[in-house]
Amino acid sequence: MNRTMRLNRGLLLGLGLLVAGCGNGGGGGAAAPQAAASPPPASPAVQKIYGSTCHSCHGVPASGAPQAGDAKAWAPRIAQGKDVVLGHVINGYKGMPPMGLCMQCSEDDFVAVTEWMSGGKLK
Amino acid sequence: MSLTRRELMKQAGALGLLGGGIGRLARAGERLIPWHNWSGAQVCIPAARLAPNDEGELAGMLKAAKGPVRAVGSGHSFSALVPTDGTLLSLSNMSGMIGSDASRLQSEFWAGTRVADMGEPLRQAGLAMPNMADIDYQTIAGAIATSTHGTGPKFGSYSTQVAGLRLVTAGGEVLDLDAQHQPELFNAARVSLGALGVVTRVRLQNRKAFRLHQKQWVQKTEDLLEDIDRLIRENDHFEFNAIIHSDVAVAQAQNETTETATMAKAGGGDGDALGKLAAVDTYLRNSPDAQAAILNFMVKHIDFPDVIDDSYKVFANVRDQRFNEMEYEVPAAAGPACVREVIKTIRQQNLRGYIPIEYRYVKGDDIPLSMFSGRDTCAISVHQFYDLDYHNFFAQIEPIFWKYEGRPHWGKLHTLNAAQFSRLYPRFKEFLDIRQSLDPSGKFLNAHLRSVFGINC
Repeated sequence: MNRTMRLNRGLLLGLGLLVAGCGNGGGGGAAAPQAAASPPPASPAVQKIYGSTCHSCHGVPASGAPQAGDAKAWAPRIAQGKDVVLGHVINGYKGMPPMGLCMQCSEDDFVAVTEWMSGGKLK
Repeated sequence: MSLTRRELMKQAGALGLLGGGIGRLARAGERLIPWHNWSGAQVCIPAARLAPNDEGELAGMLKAAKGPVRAVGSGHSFSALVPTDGTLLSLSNMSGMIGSDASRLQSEFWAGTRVADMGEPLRQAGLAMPNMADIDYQTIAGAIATSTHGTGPKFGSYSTQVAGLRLVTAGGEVLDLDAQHQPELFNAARVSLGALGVVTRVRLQNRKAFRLHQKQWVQKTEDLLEDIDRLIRENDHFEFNAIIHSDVAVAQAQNETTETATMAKAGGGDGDALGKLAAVDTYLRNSPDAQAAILNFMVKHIDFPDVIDDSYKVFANVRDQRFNEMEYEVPAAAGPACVREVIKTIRQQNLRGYIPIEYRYVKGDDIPLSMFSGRDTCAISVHQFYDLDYHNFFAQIEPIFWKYEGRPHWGKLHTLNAAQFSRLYPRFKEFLDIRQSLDPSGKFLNAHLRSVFGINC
């Protein structure tokens, strides 16, 4: 691809982005996740972890994170298996901060709170 | 520090960690969980991760801990303030509002309270913080330890809002500090990098609850800088985000209002906007002129609706994109010249990146280790997306900040050490002497802080 072609493609892309940018009020084009139905009651330990850390993203649709109780949003994540999901939780992945900001959580804690939010079972 | 397994077991036993205690060691076959900061750039594997439930438990942990102890809040510092192979201490079990005093316009919070969780209880008490940062994920203890700030030349950092605090020292002593009780120590503890002890409670000087009206617009960066004196004089809180590799910036003014009709912030975080900038970077970074033309055109046509709401909802933003950051505080008068040079360097050297430069103002204070100590300040921040290397980018920019007598934000990336800090901070030795008297064994020092303070062992 020569320089002119690259430039034209870039200009077209930029104009395309412009169109997308005009319509979203600067606040983001992709539809934010909707608030999910309330998940079943959690154990006090899970509720404590969720309330002090996870809630700030997994309880706020604007964050873009899968919401607690939204089994459909969680399903493809849970399908990746326990090792992958735990790796993302512990080490961070894209917008997910490492450890979900729970500095004292154990592996069992991470599994418990993830299973509660997702309604799934990590295997 | 290195601990043998025997020593580790002994220490854990002393702390009550075994047998279902407040923390525990990894079981056979269970992974050791590393600690990372928010961006993922700082990492450590602490020997113990503890979360006391009260001050008595905390004091016992501090007395029993043999290696370094570092308190962690939300892990939102980009610098290496937290990493330790000793004890990592979280105050997440000590959070929430303790009480408020409407007559004095004061409130008290547990130090592990996230700033994001303070606005609503304050509002219910008829109170508010006079100014806030644009990110509210930090704990209040972490925010004041690093002199975290918002914008507005009439407003100081979070640390200046502290009217009193409780500090638990390395020896387990509990000190209640304010302007009347050990004022020199109180002043030092308002910005301490966690090196004096563990802050457990913070009493804040608030104001009556208020509402803000936010306006955002796009303008040429050079025009904003030409008009900057008026903009910061006529607005309570003004800042701009300069779109790098372009000529334009997104300006933002927030002013107190009596308007009651709420216009809430739109949903969504930074992801979509930064995604567009990233796409332009991907396809056009090797064609700088076209890149600038597209960015100028694109950004100018984005619509920014006004926001009117309770102050704490307007100050804070959803930051769903992780990044690394370097920020320096330069004398206020030097701000325009400094940011011009930063913008010019990024463009001339075509440095890879797309997150805007943040440009803000902060009022000076009288706290020895505050970045704003003794001078009104302009805060200039450069960023790099978390999965792009920041070293080369920041290395090209950092010397520009030095040229303007900049002081690095304590919680953000920098390469300075005690030699430079002793020149940048007229009261540096005053803080070092207080630290030495409170923690002679260096229990609260990690490698980074030893470099910052010039302490070898």
